[in-house]
Amino acid sequence: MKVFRTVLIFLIVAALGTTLLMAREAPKHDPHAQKTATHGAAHGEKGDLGSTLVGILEHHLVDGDHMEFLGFDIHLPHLFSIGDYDFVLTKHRLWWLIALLLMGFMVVMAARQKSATPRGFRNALEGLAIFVRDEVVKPNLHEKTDAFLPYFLTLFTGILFSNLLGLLPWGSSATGNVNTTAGLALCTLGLMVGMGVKANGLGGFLHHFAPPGVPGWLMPLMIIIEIVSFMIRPFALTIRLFANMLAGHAVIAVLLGLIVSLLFAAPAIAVSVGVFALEIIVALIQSYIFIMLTAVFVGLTMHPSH
Amino acid sequence: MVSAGLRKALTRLGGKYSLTSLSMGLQNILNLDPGSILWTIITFLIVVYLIGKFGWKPIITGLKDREDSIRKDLDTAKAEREKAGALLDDYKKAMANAKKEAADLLQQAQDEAAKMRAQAEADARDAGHKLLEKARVDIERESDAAKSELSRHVAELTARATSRLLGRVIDDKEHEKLILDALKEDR
Repeated sequence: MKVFRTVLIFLIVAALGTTLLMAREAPKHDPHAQKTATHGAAHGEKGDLGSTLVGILEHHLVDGDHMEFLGFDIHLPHLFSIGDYDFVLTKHRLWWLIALLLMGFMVVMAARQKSATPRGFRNALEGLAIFVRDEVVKPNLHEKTDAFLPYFLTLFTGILFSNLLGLLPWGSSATGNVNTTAGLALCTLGLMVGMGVKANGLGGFLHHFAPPGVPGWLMPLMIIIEIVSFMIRPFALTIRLFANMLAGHAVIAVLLGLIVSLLFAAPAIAVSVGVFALEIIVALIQSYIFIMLTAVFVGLTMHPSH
Repeated sequence: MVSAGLRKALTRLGGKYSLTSLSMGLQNILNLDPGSILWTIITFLIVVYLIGKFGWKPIITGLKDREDSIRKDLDTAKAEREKAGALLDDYKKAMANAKKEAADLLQQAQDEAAKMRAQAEADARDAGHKLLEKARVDIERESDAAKSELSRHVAELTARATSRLLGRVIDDKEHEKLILDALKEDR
């Protein structure tokens, strides 16, 4: 009950924060947007309401070289250039780093606890470690469990922290950017190939793409299908996580963007709080799905006969 | 490709400037950018290494140690329980033996006591009989003595009376002889 109340208060505060933030920034994109949005219908100016919404969506979903924090507009630094590629610390790159550092800090702090009976966050992490070990890694990677467990735990907590940070006021989900999820999926692809080759040898791994018992004339097609089905797995991982995070944030932003007059405020905030709660669940589920599928895919390339 | 389609759809939907700008903006989260991907991979792998070493490893080993120690404790407890069960059985057996022994001892004591009582009774009865016999013998002897005393006394009295009647004194010897003769005849 206490937990529920805390979560509810957090949700309300977060929703209010988001609303306030949107109210603040609306004039920034178009000084007349709010005014014209409210009276838009009377004046017959359709485009301006759209531009307010677009401003909100753009600000919250899109990556960029500036971020807003506590009302300040912070311009992120240009870090280095390789050739003519300029590496800028964008909002999503920064939030991905924040998620990793925050997660790392909490995990390392929890690991410093020396008590025989763990408490607090350490307890939660141990529960997570047991779950990931027994339900995710062990059924798929068998004897390699101990070697891979830290990777999967880091993957899970990293994605989870990144997902959840997007729900905080001024926060942003790096996992709502296709590049972040593509990077993680490429790590999965690397593991699939690496462990496949290590477990079966290069020949065994490649043999997996030419299934036995297929007529010779069908073989070229089968090889293409196998390669595509192999490559589509990390691609699916990329899109699944990215689209889920993007959609959740977009729905909340759009719901709050519906507030064009006070009349709309209560239902819009109520529904967006509900969607927000759903987002917390989605953040957990998507992190779980990502590591689960990574484990399944790596397990499949290691033991293709199964 | 995706963003191009989206842009077209958004352009058709509404405001010429704003929605197109959104689609332009969305490009940076829809389009693959090697810099961002590499940034993600490199930071992630570094964090995997560092947290794996300083975060997860102590947690996992601690977890494993605890699991092992709990498993060992459980095994030990099971062994101890079995040992205790065996001990209990032994004690029960010993207790039963002791009880049986005590019962035997009691029975023996009771038997002995009964035997002693019977012996004592028999002894007492014997002693009684003996006393009775002795008493009877004594009584008989006494009564014989008394009888003979009485008969002598009677004889004396008779002799005295007779002598007085006869006016003469029969001397004792004669007298006695007379009496004894008379008695013999009487019998």
